Amino acid sequence: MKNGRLELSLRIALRQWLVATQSSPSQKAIKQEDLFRLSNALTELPEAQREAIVLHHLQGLKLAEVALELGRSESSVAGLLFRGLSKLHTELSE
Amino acid sequence: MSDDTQSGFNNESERDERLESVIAGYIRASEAGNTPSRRELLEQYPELAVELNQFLKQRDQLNRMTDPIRGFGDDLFHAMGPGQQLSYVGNYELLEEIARGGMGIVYKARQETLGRIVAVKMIVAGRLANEQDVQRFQSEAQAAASLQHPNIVSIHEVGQHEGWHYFSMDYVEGRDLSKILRENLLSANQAATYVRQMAETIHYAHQQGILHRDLKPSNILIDSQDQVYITDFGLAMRVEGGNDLTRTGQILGTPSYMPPEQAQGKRSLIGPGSDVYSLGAVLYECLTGRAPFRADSVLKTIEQVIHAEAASPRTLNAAIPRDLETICLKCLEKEPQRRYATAELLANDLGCFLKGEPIVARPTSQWERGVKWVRRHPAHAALTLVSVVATLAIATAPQRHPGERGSGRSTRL
Repeated sequence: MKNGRLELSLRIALRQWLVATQSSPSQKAIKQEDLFRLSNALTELPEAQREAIVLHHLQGLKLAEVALELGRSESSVAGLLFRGLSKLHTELSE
Repeated sequence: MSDDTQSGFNNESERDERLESVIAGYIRASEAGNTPSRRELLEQYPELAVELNQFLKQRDQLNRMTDPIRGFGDDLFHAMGPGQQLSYVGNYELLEEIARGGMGIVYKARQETLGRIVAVKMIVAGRLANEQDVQRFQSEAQAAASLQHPNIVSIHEVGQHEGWHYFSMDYVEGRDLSKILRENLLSANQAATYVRQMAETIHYAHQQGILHRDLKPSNILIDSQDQVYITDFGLAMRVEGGNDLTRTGQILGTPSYMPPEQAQGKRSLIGPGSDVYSLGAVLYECLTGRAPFRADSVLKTIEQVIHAEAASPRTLNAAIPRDLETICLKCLEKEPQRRYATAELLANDLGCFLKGEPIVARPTSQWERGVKWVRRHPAHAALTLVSVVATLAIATAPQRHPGERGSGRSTRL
C-alpha cells in the first residue's frame, strides 16, 4: 500500500512539477517520460533503498541527514544508495 | 554452515563495509564542496575500482535526471497526497480532489455531523514534512480563520488525522480564475470588475494586518454569480511583527506573480504594496492571457521579475483600454512606493475606469521607462545577479549538494 501511495504521489508530484516549470513541449515530453520511468523504477526497489534514494537524490538531503532520518549509519546509507542505484539502473535499462 | 562459507561471507561482508565507507566518504567530500576526481578515487582504491566506477556513473546518471527536481524537493513532497485509500478525515468524508497547491491538497468533502459540503485542505505531516511546514500550515489556518469577509473563503476547523494536518473551509461552487483564463481572455470591464473586488477584499485583509503574499489566478475562485472568493492565505504573514517564517530567506510563492522585493528576499520591503503588485499581475493575465513574466525556469522567471520590464498589455492585445493598461502597469512598478499605496486606491482607480471617470494613475513615458531600466541595470546588474543566485541557493540549500546546480545555472545566466 505504501508502495502504491509513493508511486501515485510521485507521479502526481512529478506531473505537477513538470506542468509548473516546463514550457517547451518537446522538452516536456522528454523529461516527463524520463521522470515517469524513474517513478516507476523507484517503486520496484526494496523500501530501504527507495527511501534512501528518494531522500538523497530527489529531496536532496545530505548523507548525514538521510542517516538521521532513517536511523542508520552513514556507511549503511551509502550501501543502500550503492545497491539502490544499481537496481535502479537495471530497472531503467529494461 | 561450513567454516569456508563463513569466512567467505566475512570477507565479502568486510569488502562491502569497506566499499560503503569509501562511498560515504566520497559523498561527504562532495557535499563539502571538494568532490574527489574519479581517477583519484579509483587509483586510491584499486580493489574496489569496478564497484566505485559503477557507482559514480550511476550516481551521475540519476543526478542528471533528478537535477531539475532536486531544487524543488520540498514542493515535490508537499505535493504528495494522502492518495486514494483515504476516504474519511475526522468527520469529513472526502468526495473528490478539487485542487492542489504547494502546501497541500484540497478535497470536496461532506461533513457528517452537519450534513454539509465543505472543502478540506490537507498537508502531509508525516516524516516528509518538517516542523516548518506544520507551522506554515497552522499559520495559514489561523490567519484565514481571523478573516471574516464575504469574498474570503472562511475556515471552519483545524485538525489532525493519522499524520495529516487538515482544515475545513467553505466549499465554493465555482471555478478558479486560472482555469477560466485558460479558455478565454476577459473583457476589459469584466477584468476590472473582478480585480476591483479582489483589491477591496485584500484591502480588508490588510486592515486586519494580514498580507496574502501568494495572490495568483489559481487562488481566486469565481462562482456562477460572478462573485470573487480569495483563498489560500498560505503565505499570509502579519503585516507587523508576529511569527516570522520568512526569516530563513526562502522564496515563497509563485514567481510569475511575485513582486521583485519578494523575489529578491528583501523582507523589509514586503508590505501591502506587494499584494498590489500581485493584483496587477493577475489583472495583466486577465487582459493578455499571460502572466507578466514567465520563463523556462523558475530562476529565469525570477530574474525577469527583478530586471525586465513587462511588455505593455496593449502590445499584446490592442483592444485593452489605455487607462486600464496604465492602472495595470502602475501595480507592476518594481519599486513598491511607485505602486498604489494601498489596495483600496487600486480598487478606487478601477472604479473610476469602470465609471468612465478619469483615473489617478499616470502613464509612464518611454523616457521614464528607459531611465528606470538604466538605473536598475548597469551598476546593480552584477550584484543583483549574485543576490538572485544566492537567494536561490539559500532557499534550497538544505536540499542540495553544494555547487552542483548553482554553478551550472549561474554560468547560463
